[in-house]
Amino acid sequence: MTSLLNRKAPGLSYSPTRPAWKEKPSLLYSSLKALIVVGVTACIGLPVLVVFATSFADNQQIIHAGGYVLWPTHPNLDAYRTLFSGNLMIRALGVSAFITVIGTAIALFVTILLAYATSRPVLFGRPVVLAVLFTMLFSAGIIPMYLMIKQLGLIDSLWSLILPGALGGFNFVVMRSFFMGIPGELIESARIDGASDWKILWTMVLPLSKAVTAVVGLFYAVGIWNAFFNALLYLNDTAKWPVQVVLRSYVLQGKSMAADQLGVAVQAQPQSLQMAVVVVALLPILLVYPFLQRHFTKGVITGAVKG
Amino acid sequence: MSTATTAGYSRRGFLGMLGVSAATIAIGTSLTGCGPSAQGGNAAASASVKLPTYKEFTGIKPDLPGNAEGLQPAFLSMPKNFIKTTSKAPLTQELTAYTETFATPPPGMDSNAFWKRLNTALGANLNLTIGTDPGYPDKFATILASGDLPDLMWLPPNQGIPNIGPMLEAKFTDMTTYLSGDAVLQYPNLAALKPASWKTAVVNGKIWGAPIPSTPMGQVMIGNPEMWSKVGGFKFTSVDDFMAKGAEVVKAFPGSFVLGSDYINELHMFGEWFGVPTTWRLNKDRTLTHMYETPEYKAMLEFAAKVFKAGFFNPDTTLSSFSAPFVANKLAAYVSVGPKGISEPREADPTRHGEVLIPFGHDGRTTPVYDMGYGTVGFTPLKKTTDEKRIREVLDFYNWMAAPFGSAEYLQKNYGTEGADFTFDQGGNPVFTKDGNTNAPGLVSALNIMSSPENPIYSASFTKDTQAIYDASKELLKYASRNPTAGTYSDTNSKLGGKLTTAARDTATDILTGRAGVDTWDAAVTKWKNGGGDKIREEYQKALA
Amino acid sequence: MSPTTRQETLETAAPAGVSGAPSPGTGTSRRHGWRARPAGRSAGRKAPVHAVPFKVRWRRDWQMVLMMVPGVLVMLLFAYIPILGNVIAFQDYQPYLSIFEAPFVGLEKFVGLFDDPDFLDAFRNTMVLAVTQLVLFFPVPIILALVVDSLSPRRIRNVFQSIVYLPHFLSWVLVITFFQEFLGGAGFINNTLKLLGMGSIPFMTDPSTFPLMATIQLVWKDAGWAMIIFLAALSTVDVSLYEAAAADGAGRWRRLWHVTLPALRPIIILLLILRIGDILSVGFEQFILQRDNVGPGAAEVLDTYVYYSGVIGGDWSAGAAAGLAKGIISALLIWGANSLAHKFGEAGLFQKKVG
Repeated sequence: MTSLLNRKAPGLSYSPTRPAWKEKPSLLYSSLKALIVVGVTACIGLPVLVVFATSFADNQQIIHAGGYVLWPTHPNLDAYRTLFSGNLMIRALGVSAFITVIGTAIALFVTILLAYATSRPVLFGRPVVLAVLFTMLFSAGIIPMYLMIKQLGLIDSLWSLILPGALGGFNFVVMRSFFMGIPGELIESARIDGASDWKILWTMVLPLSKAVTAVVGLFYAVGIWNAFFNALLYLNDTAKWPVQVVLRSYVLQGKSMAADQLGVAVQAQPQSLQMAVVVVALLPILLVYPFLQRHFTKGVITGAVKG
Repeated sequence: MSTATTAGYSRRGFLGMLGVSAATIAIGTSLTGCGPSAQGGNAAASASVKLPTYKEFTGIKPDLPGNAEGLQPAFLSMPKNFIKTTSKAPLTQELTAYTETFATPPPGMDSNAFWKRLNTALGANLNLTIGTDPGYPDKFATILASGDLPDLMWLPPNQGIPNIGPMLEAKFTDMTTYLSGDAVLQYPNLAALKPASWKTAVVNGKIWGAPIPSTPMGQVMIGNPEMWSKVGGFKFTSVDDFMAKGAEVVKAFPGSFVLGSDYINELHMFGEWFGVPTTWRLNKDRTLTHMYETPEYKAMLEFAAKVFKAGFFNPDTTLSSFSAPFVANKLAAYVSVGPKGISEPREADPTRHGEVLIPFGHDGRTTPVYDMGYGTVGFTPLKKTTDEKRIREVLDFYNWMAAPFGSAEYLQKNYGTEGADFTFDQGGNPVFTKDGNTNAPGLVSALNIMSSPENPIYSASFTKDTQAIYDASKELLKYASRNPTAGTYSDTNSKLGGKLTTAARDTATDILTGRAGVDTWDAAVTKWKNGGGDKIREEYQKALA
Repeated sequence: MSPTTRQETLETAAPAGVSGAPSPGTGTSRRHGWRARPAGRSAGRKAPVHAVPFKVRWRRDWQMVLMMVPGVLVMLLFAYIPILGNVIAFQDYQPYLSIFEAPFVGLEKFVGLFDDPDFLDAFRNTMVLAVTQLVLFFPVPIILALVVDSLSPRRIRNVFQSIVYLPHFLSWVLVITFFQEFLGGAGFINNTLKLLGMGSIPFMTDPSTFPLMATIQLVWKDAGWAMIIFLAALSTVDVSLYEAAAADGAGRWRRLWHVTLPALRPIIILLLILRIGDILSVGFEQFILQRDNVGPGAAEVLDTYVYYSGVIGGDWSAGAAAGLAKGIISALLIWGANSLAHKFGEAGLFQKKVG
């Protein structure tokens, strides 16, 4: 991304409130910022609050309010109890956790290697990069992908959700761009000192790349966590279904258009259950993101000092 | 900003939506395609096959009797005697099937006691691959393409699976000889399925499996009794009466709307008041006229635009269920899948129910039409085999699964074993135990979509509605009309039907909402005809000649 | 850190317009000092690459080539071989036939998609929406990132970040539902207007303002999520640059212009190129859900058009044909945008052969 290293300047410390080089903000500037922050928070925070609130609200209040409530007057855990009754949800959460952790690790490994290797002029570099870009433009259809997964014996295996996505075009491009921005002198001097490319990558380049690793890791993790369609296609055993499929089955119970058209009796789920489904889908990212946030803060010490 | 994080994820857009086609398929249109090789010749063949002989099941007497016109029998409580309709377990070896569930997925067979007990009753393991919505047709296609089919695959009639004729010929078993005419009497539960149902299992002049009856009734408009009682009840003598009463209802309940935002379904109801035929009209000279081409349809559109202009429609088109505003008295009427919609509001509020609108003539004189539904949810064909023993075993399986309401097999299939999976409450109705509630519903939903007896009107939870549903059905049947092309197949309809219907509906919606004038309808009809409508008509006419 | 290196880094951070014209043709080598040439190669940039024998390059690069293997393997197995399946775009394919049995129909499927007059409407809508999104959506995450980055109290900054990206995880159904609850004909605003005796405003049902509404919906849903990548980029800016700039007397806005924005430039250009390449895909679910609200005249986009034209009738070949056509056009657009980026001295997505 940027061509500069992140270093702590000697003699200056970065204080969490205001660094020495920043001037005191004017009243206009501060109020403008405050306006934006409050405005955006309200715009987005309010509906999110409604989602959470409705999931805890009792049916009567929901009906009276016409579907969504701002604050539950008689909060209850009924919706969550329904969701977690039986082992279905717990097992699905376990499956999703497994494939997300392993899948992200594998994807990061593959992507970092390829992105770093192609970030310098290297044998086969350009054709490989173009090859990756090509895959971003043209995708295979469901049927050829299914046949390939079948050929590899991955039908009904959780690996079918992990391996195909191990190299995401967009994530590769972002990571490579960042690596390209790391100064060449650093790498060259390490090479001259006799370090192997592998060692350079893992001991020098990666520690400098915490931010981009966090971002790309986040993108991969979210992609895997949201797996729905592939899970439906490749997994026959419902015990292996990840969280999104199970959640969707709760939501769709009342809305299945196919069933409705065919006159099949379906029972609509109460609104609180549908909102609880949304909350359960949101929770993991809410829990994980704070750990990544610290990498997006300015002035974090990330590594080596230029010689 | 591209947020494609895994290869192909963002492309999933339109390919992934393959399953969600139900909303755009015309109600009552038969959609399974027939062979493209002989122009319409195969459709004619379908008309000539001898349907299985119908032998009504008389072992269990319903509380309210049905009739041949389509009135379903009704049970006010579960019959007590649970007679056995089969003498032995149907399976000797494992049977695999691909089906869909409309409930949450059940625990796997190995950890599902209900399932294991069912397997014991069946004689061998019934190993199901259970899909969910959306995605069923996609997985269907991938399984088909892989060549590795399970024994049975449920074939829904309106989820957009095309070219059914050639597909069945290529990959599935023709069961005509085992079921046609009196051959079906060997399987008494299958003989109890009505001819109208069997028609939907005939393609290319052959029978491919047992049909899966759902309900013969079509859509109805459900009204809010609390709201309409203020203006004299939910019945009208003419559209002017409807407009007047609708305006009054909204005045009596400020902030409410008369009709739901389900535009297409509401147009369907209006059409009934104007005498629009059930998709096609079979003229005296055996030609067909499509409903779009009739002057009644255009007149109806003009009326619909007036209704919209009067602000009758709830503008919130992403409402998934109308029950919530209904019970809050913010919605006076909406369209439900059938008379059983009387019970629908009870989901939101157990004390509330709906009432059915009996269609009326728009001008007080015309005879209205009540469109009957497709009637079944398709059939479940067997993958291609010449193993006669296996075929007969599957037929026994069909027979067992189609055991009528109130039989021992029906009880086992839907509720399980008494004590372990369910118990009887005071009213004699089965209620799931805690384990039963975890293990059964997902599986039962999947079983009932791939096999079913003729369904009576029955509700374990809302028995008081059963009488109302039965009575409403009787009234509606006075105006019953069926799609004359039901049970015949047009290849062009299978390929282009969805596209043509969507285009016509788009124009109809534009006219309804006032974005376009009624005069644009003629151009839309011409587009429909030239885009394939005429060809579809030809193919159907050949079949019905 | 020596003053000379600090000075050097400050200069290279400045945008091209300030510190002198960029050297033509070779794009970014001015900025990327890492392009040190290995020993044994001629110093002149114009030296032909094939002068370096394969053996030498292999000896130099074999470790890197090894690193490429997992990624290339994944691509081969899960992208390239299945992409061959797109041959069905030239056939009349049905799943119960194998790809080898399906009849060959040449360009029939492609023609079938394009000769419908509705195609032009869909194309026009797609372009209008894409341009509106580019102008009104694209800058928002950048502005958000700048705002967040300048928020000093850590608590507020963290909480704000966490809230702002959440709508990305809501389904479009829910997002449209919320918009209707607020702006719909039966929604909060219009109800209030009715109570005050004023007429209702057709926010969600006016076809002429639909592109604006659709973009507002997109901003609400995705701007917070798109902000993250810019935050990450901002976090890598060397703090000492800000110090140096402040020491030189640059105020807040000059620092923004000379330090912050140039630091973001590469990622902005990168994402812009990708966005331009993706211009034909403005969305699907968002538009199918609102088709009845505003009519297909405003809401039909290329993806929904293809869906109704072919996919709905189970026409796998038409879907594949549409995908191929989109891919080819996207490739051309990306190549064009990338070349344009090179003219502005940027590395872009990929470079011409440079050894």
